Amino acid sequence: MTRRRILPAILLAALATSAQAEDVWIKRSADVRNDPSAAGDLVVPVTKGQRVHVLERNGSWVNIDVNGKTGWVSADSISTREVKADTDLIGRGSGAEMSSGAAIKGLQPIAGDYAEKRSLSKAGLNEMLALKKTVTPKMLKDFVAEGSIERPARR
Amino acid sequence: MNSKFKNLKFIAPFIVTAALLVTVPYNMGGCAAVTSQIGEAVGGKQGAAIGNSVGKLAENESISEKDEQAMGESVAMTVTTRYPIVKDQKLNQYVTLVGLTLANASRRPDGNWLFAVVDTDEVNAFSGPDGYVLVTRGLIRQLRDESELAGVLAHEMSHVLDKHGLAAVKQAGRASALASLTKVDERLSAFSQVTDSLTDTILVKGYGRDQEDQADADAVKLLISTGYDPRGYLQFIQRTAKEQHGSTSIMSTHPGASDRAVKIRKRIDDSKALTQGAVLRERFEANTKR
Repeated sequence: MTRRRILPAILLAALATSAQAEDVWIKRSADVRNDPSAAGDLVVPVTKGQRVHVLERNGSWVNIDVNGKTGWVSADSISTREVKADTDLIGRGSGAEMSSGAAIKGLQPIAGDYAEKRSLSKAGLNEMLALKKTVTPKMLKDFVAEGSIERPARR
Repeated sequence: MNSKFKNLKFIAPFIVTAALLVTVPYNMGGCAAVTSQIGEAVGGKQGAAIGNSVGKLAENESISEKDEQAMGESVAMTVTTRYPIVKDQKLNQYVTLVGLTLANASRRPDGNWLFAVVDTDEVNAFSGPDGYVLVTRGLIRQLRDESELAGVLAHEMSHVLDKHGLAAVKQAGRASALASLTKVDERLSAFSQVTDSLTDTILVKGYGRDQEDQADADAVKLLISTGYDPRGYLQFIQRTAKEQHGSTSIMSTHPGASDRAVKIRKRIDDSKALTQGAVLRERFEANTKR
């Protein structure tokens, strides 16, 4: 292909992408997953009020771009209208001061401090997180198929 | 522990279930009474501060998602400290797969859903805000097939989806109490005491009648939309009702299993589900080593 043909093709592709591109807001916290499945691995968590970019829609799932990271969230988790972020009651401010007990990734500082104060073990929480990672989207898909678990047709 | 007692206790997941290890009495109409109870529970100057603040802020405050996450984590840590997670990967994976099958058909397939079985003969189940669902080994033993397990999980997940635990906190003005405290140590202290209080509450009380009914109704919907036979859940509640008959246990202040079974049956009939749905007894038995 000559350079004369390549350039318009690139421009057209860029235009097509931008035409599909859609900025939306996260209306509730969600785990952006690497697969459109509840068993998909976490790519990045998103929180209410965050602005993200829609790349593709696939049924009830939407592929989004979050600051360069892409993954899937439920279509119910986004809004085309601007959504404002929460004001935290418990966790607001002073995160650094309260983070001594937050040994688990994603553990809220006050929950970590609560665990320290009440001598609660974080092992169970870690086990739950590790357990979830052992279940892959393929396992879930096979599990559903093996059990012939079929969603009824919409009426 | 005799069989009857076990079965009385098992109903706790549905009456006492805990989207927060917290519940409210269903006659909780008056916020003022609750407000003073919180102040008393916390005690001292801080308690007074909490008690005084609640009435001003309770109706307008909302609980943020971070707050919800912190509460869910606290519930999960409390339960798993008391009851360790079973060292049975196959069983835990099986329960997780059933839970995620339901999650995929729910309105929050991208939620933070985490499932596990905890090692105790007690018959119970717990759910914490933000998606933590724990069932006991004792409860697993009471179930007969996968559709019944799906029913229990769907009920718990409905408490999470409907934010019943958070509703209890808001209804009691507890979140506002926390919001009014600006110093880190005061907030932690308030959080700790409120959480302790709520944990105690759930062990003797339960969700409100309306919340239990709503969780039953939503569980039936979720089971049908997933493709499980909702009659498994009905059978489970009916068996419970038989065990519970004539009892004046802690259930006296909560909806009885008989009443719930009647409502669940009506909901299933009203749903006019076209398909019978999956039951999967053999798979359940194979994964639970019965």
